[in-house]
Amino acid sequence: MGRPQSPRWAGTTHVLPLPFGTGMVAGGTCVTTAAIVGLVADGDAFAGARVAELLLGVSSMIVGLAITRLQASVKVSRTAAMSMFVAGWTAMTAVAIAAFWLSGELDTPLDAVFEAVSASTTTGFTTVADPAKLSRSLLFLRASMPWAMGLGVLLAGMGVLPVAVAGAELMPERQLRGQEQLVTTLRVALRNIVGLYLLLTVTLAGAYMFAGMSLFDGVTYALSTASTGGMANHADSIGHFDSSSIEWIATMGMVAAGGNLMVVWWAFRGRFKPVWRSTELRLYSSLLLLGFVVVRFAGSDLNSSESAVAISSMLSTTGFRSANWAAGTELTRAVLLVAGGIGAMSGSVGSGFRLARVARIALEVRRRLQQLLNPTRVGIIRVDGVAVKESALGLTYGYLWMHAFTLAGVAALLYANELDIIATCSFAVGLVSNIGILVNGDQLQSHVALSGWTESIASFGMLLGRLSIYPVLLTVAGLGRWFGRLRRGQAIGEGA
Amino acid sequence: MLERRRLARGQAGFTRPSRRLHSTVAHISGLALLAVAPGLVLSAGVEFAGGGDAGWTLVACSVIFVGLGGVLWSGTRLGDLAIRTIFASVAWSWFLVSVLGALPFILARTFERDGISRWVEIADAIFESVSGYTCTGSTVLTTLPDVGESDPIVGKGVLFYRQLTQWYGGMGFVQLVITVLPTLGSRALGFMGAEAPGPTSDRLAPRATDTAKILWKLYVGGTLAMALAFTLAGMSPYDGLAHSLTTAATGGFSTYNDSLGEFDSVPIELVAMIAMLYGGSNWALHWLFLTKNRRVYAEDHEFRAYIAIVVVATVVVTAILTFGDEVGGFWTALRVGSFNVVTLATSTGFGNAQGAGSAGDIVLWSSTPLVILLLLMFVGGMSGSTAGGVKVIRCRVLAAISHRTIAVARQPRAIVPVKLGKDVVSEKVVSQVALFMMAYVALIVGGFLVVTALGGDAEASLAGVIGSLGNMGPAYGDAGPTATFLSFPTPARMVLAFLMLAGRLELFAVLLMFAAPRRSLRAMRPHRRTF
Repeated sequence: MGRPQSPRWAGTTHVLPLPFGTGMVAGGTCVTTAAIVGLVADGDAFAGARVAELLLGVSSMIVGLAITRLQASVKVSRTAAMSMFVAGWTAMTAVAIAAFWLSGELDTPLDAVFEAVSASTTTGFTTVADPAKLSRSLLFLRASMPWAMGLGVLLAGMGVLPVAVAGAELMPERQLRGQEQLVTTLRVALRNIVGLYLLLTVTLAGAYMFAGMSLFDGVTYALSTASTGGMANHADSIGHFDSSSIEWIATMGMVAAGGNLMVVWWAFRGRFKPVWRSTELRLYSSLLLLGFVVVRFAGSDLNSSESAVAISSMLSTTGFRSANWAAGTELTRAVLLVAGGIGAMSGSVGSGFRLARVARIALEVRRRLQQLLNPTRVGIIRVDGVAVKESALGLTYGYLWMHAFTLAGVAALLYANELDIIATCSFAVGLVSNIGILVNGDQLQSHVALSGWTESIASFGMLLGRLSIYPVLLTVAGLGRWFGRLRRGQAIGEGA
Repeated sequence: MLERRRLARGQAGFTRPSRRLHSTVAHISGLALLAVAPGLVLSAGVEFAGGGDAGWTLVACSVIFVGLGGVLWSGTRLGDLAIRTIFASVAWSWFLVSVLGALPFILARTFERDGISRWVEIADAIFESVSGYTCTGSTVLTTLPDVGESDPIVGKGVLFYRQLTQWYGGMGFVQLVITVLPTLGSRALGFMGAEAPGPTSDRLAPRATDTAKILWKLYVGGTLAMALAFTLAGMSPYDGLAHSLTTAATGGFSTYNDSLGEFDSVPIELVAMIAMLYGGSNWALHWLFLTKNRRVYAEDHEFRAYIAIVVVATVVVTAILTFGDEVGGFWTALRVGSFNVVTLATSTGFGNAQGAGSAGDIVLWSSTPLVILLLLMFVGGMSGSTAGGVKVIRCRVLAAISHRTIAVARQPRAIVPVKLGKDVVSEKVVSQVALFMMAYVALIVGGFLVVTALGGDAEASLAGVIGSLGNMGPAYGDAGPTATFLSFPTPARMVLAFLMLAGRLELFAVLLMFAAPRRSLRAMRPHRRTF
């Protein structure tokens, strides 16, 4: 007996309407909110553009909701789950690109693409030389997009798709086995994650305003800090305020945002044993402390708050700047660039290679060297007190090489005559680790003036970094197979 | 009577204790020093023939090497041959020879400069010696002559010894030692593996000592052929031989200030490129080509990948230099682009710039070709060659591992072998390659931080660390191909020297060199066996 033929449009598209629609809703929400903020704050200036954005935002939300209804309840395969993540991001970014272009404040459509991608990947690079000249609406959109993406990363990585997203090999084994897990039901997981994220954002906004920022600046900088987006309303980032209180608040916010919210939750609940046992947290704390000491005392002119901002900004991959550490010592530059390359903790909204992978690799190197000396030795790597499976280690090796290849490829393809090799390498790290800072000579900059080709490469680099490479590659491969089957006239069922 | 005879032979009940210490490390190190001594004698001959002042200094150094080597060799015997001891032996013998190899430079005051202390001079000599024996080619020598210079500051013999250091280091003096140590037996393969632990097995003969002999014969023959080719291309016989020593070893030392750029000759550069590609290929393939299979180059997937990398990089770099009008015209771009691609892909490090600011001075190129050259420095040559770097086959295995990871990401329960073409790579090799890569990246990051902490410029430090670990030679910035490594502070140069040693021994031997000291020291005590 043969299987009934599935309809031609079914199959992998079964799983795409929900994330695609959700992405449109998320993007539409950000655009709508930004338009409302603009209408209130900008007044008559840019009114036409604000109305257009409002219409775009509302229609995106309506269409997105409608698309989500097309989603049938289906079993999600691993590949499909990664494609869902990419689809959601694509939809959200597409809405943002349209909004940026409709605003009329950017020079070219490619600039709108770059700006939207930079925001939705929580990177922070910008083609705008002086953000202070942008409208409030656009500034709010630049800050809210990373926040929405950060929420999506948390939900996808921790709550909704726990076994699908690349980086799942970093999840503590005991969580997957149900021991000491954060919660027992999905609904409670979502509540806790969203709650913690919102709490962090609101706390930061309040603290910034208490320290002297205006309401608008307080909220937008809080959104950028909590999401590690690093989008600033001023050309000199938070250094514009020249306030050590603001710098310390930003530091604490970035440290929290770059940390694993699960660990924060455990500390909140008074369960300090798993907090203390967290290998990654110990590594994170050590690197923060060591980086701070080096930056502060290794001959640079940075004071304590500026040093704290520098190391926490790079390690959490936020990208805020309060002082020009590029004009400091070579050691300061080297330490901060390496910190940016290492990245934040797993399970956080930060990006980069991730501390958990660094910890695994260090332990694995030690184990293998011991095995070279004693071939009969059987060693076990323990992270957070739990043995790490060999399969998870294999995924980590594979990711190391993919990450290195991506960095090298992006660096090689960035053809920018004005940049020397350190600037090119730091630009590649800034893109793939979604930091949003590059070291150009003795200057730090988030503003980049790029040719069309370079802008496209840079955008792709940001995407690969934020989505941890595999989902993008698998989606592209999946699309290729999908079109191939369509072309051959084959049915696309669940076996696709 | 019988019992007395047996007592004398040490066979009955009680064994006469040996007066020689049991130390594999010392025994191998002694032999390594003895192996290097003839090179010093030869260099002394060249110095006398060239009319230099350091002839007797070189003779004295050869006597010291023979004496010290003889004491270590004859005063010790092979101890335990556990894997940790093998690694330690290889690492310490290389360390000893590299550091003692600075003695001729120290005694001949080669690195004497105004305003520097004797300690800095000694440190410079050690750096140069390590750079030589590890076939890196980074130099701190500022007094290299120009072609035709009548009264060079450094004598021809000293420069010839400098070239010889790379020739010795190319094939490895532990491999040389193995050819004269039949008592090693099956453990000889362990020594060969510890000196060059690549992912492929290059056994050309059933016995490891025979394999080592074949490789050395090929190496000597190849060197002489290159010397002849250089001479026919226009070099003098002395220059031809001197440059062939470092080309076969893919070391890159030249006896002139501007390296091969001094000759400004396309034929010489073409010969050098072919010779470098030859040196950067698996020498086992050359033997198989000569003796068994004419199609071996076409059939070997690593060789095909190696050539493809060189060709693609040449095309891309030439295109960028041409369209960016960085060096003036297509033919110049092709000449400098192809030469620099080959020299860095094979980790040789020769330059063809005629001074700072000329077309071949890569530090003036834009960033994209520099990044491509940096990647080539990272990848390096083929396994089983004298080249450095991560090696082409490891990169291919890593690419295959990534492909498997993506497949497993799609289907977690799938069992996906790592394959190179149709050949399945064993999991043991996969984990060795993964370990090597992780350690390599960790050393690059750690080395970069340490060298900048010690005062190095960031750009030069990054390229210097990658170049040292990959045994390349030139860095970027102030330590580019037309400059020296004097721009690095002395402590930073010592760190780079350590990285050169680590890179030459492919990391593990150096990382494990302290693992066996206690056991080796215990083994050095006289043995007393009783029944």
